[in-house]
Formats: sequence, structure tokens, C-alpha cells
Amino acid sequence: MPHDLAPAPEILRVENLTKHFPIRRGAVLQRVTGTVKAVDGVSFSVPAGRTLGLVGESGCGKSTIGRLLVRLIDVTSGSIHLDGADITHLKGEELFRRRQDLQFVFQDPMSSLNPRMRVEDIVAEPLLVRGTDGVACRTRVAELLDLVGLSRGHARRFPHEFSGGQRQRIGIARALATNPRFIVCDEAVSALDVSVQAQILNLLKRLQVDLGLSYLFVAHDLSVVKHVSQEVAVMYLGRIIEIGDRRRIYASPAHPYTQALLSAVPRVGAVSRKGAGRQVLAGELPDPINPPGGCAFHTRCAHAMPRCSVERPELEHVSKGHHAACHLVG
Amino acid sequence: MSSPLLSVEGLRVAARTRRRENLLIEDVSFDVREGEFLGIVGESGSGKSMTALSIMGLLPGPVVQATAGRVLLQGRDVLKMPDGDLRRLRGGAIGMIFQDPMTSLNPVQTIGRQIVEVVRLHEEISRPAAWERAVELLREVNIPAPEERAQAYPHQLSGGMRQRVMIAMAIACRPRLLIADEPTTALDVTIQAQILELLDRLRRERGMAVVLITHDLGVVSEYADRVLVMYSGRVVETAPVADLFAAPSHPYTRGLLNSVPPLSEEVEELRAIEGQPPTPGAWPAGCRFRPRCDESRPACARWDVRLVSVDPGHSAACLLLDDKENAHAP
Repeated sequence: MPHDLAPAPEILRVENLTKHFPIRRGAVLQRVTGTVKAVDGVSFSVPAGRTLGLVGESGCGKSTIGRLLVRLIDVTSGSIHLDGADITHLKGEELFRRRQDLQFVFQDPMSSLNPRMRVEDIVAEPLLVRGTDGVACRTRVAELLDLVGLSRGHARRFPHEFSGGQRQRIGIARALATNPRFIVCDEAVSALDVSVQAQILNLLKRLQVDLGLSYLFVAHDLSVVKHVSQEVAVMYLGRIIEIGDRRRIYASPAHPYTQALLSAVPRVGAVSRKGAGRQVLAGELPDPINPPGGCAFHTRCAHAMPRCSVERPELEHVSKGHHAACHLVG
Repeated sequence: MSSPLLSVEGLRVAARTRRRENLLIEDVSFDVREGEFLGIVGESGSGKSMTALSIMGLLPGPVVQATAGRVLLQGRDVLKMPDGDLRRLRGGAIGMIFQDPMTSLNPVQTIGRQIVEVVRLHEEISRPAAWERAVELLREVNIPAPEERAQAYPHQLSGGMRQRVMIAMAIACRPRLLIADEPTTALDVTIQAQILELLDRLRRERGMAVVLITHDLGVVSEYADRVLVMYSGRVVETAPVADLFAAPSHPYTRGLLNSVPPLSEEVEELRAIEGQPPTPGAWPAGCRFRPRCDESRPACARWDVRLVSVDPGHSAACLLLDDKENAHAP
């Protein structure tokens, strides 16, 4: 099991999480002609007050995991425990109450904020639906805007009057409204300019310390993930292929895919390297409907052996709190 | 010394409405030498894309127009060229690729036919011969099985493959200059590495100059020979790439570098630039970076700062550099 380091009590535990999307053909009969295994047997846990970063390329299933955790979509199998309570199959009223602890910050604040609502109404909505009265709401909204670095004067404005970074602050204020314990940030800073991105990253880190929040930070940008996370999980075609302490993963990645991914990042200051010493991965992500057998990465792996196309490697111990799914490990 | 391939002099672009004129870029000057790799970095609204569009004579007129300056390509002013000459220029002497290949490709024609069209527009050549050329070009940009892929439609290709097709099309008529506007922004990092390697290889093999427009400092750092940093429609710093990263001279450049979470060292909190980049038309008087600059002084609001030479080939537009005596005074 990939979690033998748990200094803090864990807030979230996911076991064998699986999500298969059926592919349907035909307008009427909708026959199922295949499945995409978007998430295929993923386990991890997040200690309270800490951040797990989830990285991978598009289509690896990282966003699906985020959506499964907050129960925006239903799981195919596996379990999700929040603070010891099984929330995998909660429905209706119960799910609604549990969501108070579990919030989501989206990538694009423009499409996740209602353009016809004022900022104060957007931020107050999670409170109003939970029966908080108007006066209490107003006080709380002012408090929240303060917390995310917006002024009270912003409360009466509409989302289009704000820049991308400020909109993301509104999205964060809304997520904080119910005093959640766990927040899923799905590419929360990807659409922002570098200088504004740094502000939001600092804000998220400060809020984590001040409010004791735990994050699942889903992103494709490896340097951003490194900056915010204590633990990192790398995904490839629906599975976690490496997980562990951030420092270990970035300093000595064990899986060939993680190595290639890190080597592909253009580095500031690596002047005129022009790709020297870089492992450029050949080919592209295989078809997720028809993933390769054995280790899904063997088609692009420089170290592939005959065994890799037959036998799927499981997560193996690399060092303390560091696991990788590769036959070369262990 | 031979004259540069491209010379932009005092370029000024404005969006005109009946009531007012909004400046988009102002006083932008730079040269591109034969075979050089120039990187233009900046955040949204900095004018980097407008600069690219001006070079190609693609400004969305009649509202947006170049109102001053010259863009000399091999000695001829692009801004004054008649439409016919411009059409021969684009795809002829200048090739271009954009961020989203899907919107630049015709969805109902095979990619082979689209390349044939480009070739036949610029050269007297038979269809079969042009098809041969198309297949050859697809091979040159590393598309596997080019004979078959030439028959494919854009939707049948992945994002990385589509960008390769765009590159094949852009280099079809052996341009002297390739303008790439955020060519890898929509791509995954491993695919981005492949595309950048490809661009640099083509530059070397064909002696073609490349102007790469990006917001990613890492990309610029690794591939560019020289860098232009833009902010609010102006060039704030230009330098050979090694100098820029070793001794960034403009406070904005320094802020930008501090905003990127480093991949190899540990930084607890990012030194983010406060505030937002101003929108075009709402630029402050004097130095446009002044409201966000932590080194600004009252004089910064009064003076229109010009580029000042710091080192040979390295200049920056900051008042603190203009008067070195006072640079470190409180």
C-alpha cells in the first residue's frame, strides 16, 4: 500500500478507486461498444492540513479523480473515506450535508461563476442554501472577501468586471464559505498569467496554514505542483505510477515516465540548453479505449523489457514513503 | 555587418473607435538576424501577439492599425505592401504557426490537400508533384507513415500531430522567417518538448530565423538566442538569453523570474508581483510598470522611460538604470 508515512491523521482515504466510462454507439439503442478506464484502481490518502499534488498529461484521469472525490460523478467501484466516514455512495440530503466539508475550485473562473450574479451573491450562495440568514451571510461574505484579498467594495460587482486572478479569488472565497476541510483544486492556476499565478499560489498556501485546509491539487504544471504539495502522485492512463514525498520524487524519480516528464520541463535559467541531455519521449499517449497490455507505458519507455508488455507492475516500495510501479524498481 | 532579415522600427499599433484611440503597442523596435532564434515573452495584454500580427501584415483592420513605424522584411516595409504582395509574403518568405492548430486547419479537407494548396499558391508545380512534396514535408516534421497520414483529416490527428502539420505547411515554401505564436501552450509537456526540438532542428537545417512568442520563461531560456520582454505594449528589456537570466535589469523581468516556482530548489513563498497587468488603454503615465514596482520612485510617474543600454546588446527601460549614480539611493 502506498501510504506508510502518515504523521498527521489522514483526512481523506481513497481505496481502489475506479471509474469506467462506457462508450455508446447508435442514436436509439445506445449499445455499449467499449469502456474508457479513466481511473483504474487508484489508492492514496491525504493527511490533514497537507497537499497531495496529482500530475499527469491530458487524459491520464487526474481531473476525473477530483470530480469523483467531491462526488460530482459516481464511482464505478472502490471507496472514498472523508474523515473516517464512507462517502462513496452518499446521496441526497446526506451528500449535501457532507459537501460542506468538501469543496472544489475550478480552472476557469469565468465559466464557473454565474455572470448574472453579483460577487456577494456568488460567495453567499453556499451559505444561503444551508439556511444561514441574510445578516450573518453578509458578515461572512465580507470576512471571506477579506481572507482572499478582495475589498468589500468588490461585493456589489459582477464577475466580468474582474481580471482572471481576481475571479479565481472569488472562486476560492466561494469554496471557503462553508468552512470546508478538504478542497479539490483542479488546474486552479493554469489559466493565469505567471505573475498572477504566483499570487494565487501564495494565497492558497497561506489559507492552508491559517485554516488548516487539506488540498488535492490537480495540475499539469510540474513546478507549480512541486511548490504547493508535500506529496505528489504521478498518473499515466488511469493509474498512479509513482507516489511519494515531493522532495524524493523531484530529486530522484524512480519511474521512467516521471523521469521523462521532469526532463521535458523547460527550465528557467537552463540557458540555451536546447534540449541537450533531455529524454524526449517518443510517440504520444496511447488510445485510452485500448490501452497497451502489461505496463501501459511500455510503448514509450526507453527501458522496456519483454516482461513489461505482459505483466502489469504494481506499486513497489522505493524508499520510505516513495512507491513506483515499474519492474525495474524493487 | 549585413543588414538584418527583419527590422521593426518604432512600431505603434492602435485600436481606433469613433471616439477614442487605444494604444496596443508603442515604440517597439527590434531586429531579427538570419537564422536567429528570438523569444518574445510577456503576459496577456503585453502586445506580443499584436507585434507578431504586424510582422505578418495580419492586424485586424480597419479598427486595429499600425499608426507609426516600419516593419522591414529584407528591406521592404510590410506595413505598406499591397494585399497581393502580402499574400505572397505570408507562406512565402514568412511562415507562421499559432497556438490552436484546429482553428487554423480546414476540417473538411485532408491535410495533404491543404499542404498542396499552400505549395501551389506560391509555386508553379503540378498537383502530383505538390503531393509528393506534401508527403516529404510530413516526413520532415516526423509524422509517422506520412503517405497514409496525408490522407487524414485534421480531427483524426492528435494536438501534437496537428501542430506538426501546421509546421509542415509553414515551412513548405522555405521561408526565411518562422513566426510561432504560443505554439506549444495547448500541448502536454512531453509533446511540447518534441515540437520545440523540431522547430530548433528545422531552424538549424534550413538556416531559418524563428520568432517564438510565449509566456513560458523556461521555453525562452532553453531555446532562444535573444529575448525581448514586453509589458503593457512596450519592450521593457532585451538581451542575449544568457545575460537576461544572469542579470535581469528591469524590475518587471526580475519579478517575472521570481514568480516561477523553481523545479530544482526549495522556495517557501514566491515573491509575486503585486496587482494585475493593466489593460490596454488604462496604462498609467510614465513607466507602465510603476504601480506594481516595489522600486518605484516619484520620478517614475513623470518620465517616459526609454530603453537604456546596460551592456552591449542588453538594454532595459527603467529610470533606475538611466541614472546609475542614484540607482541605489533610498
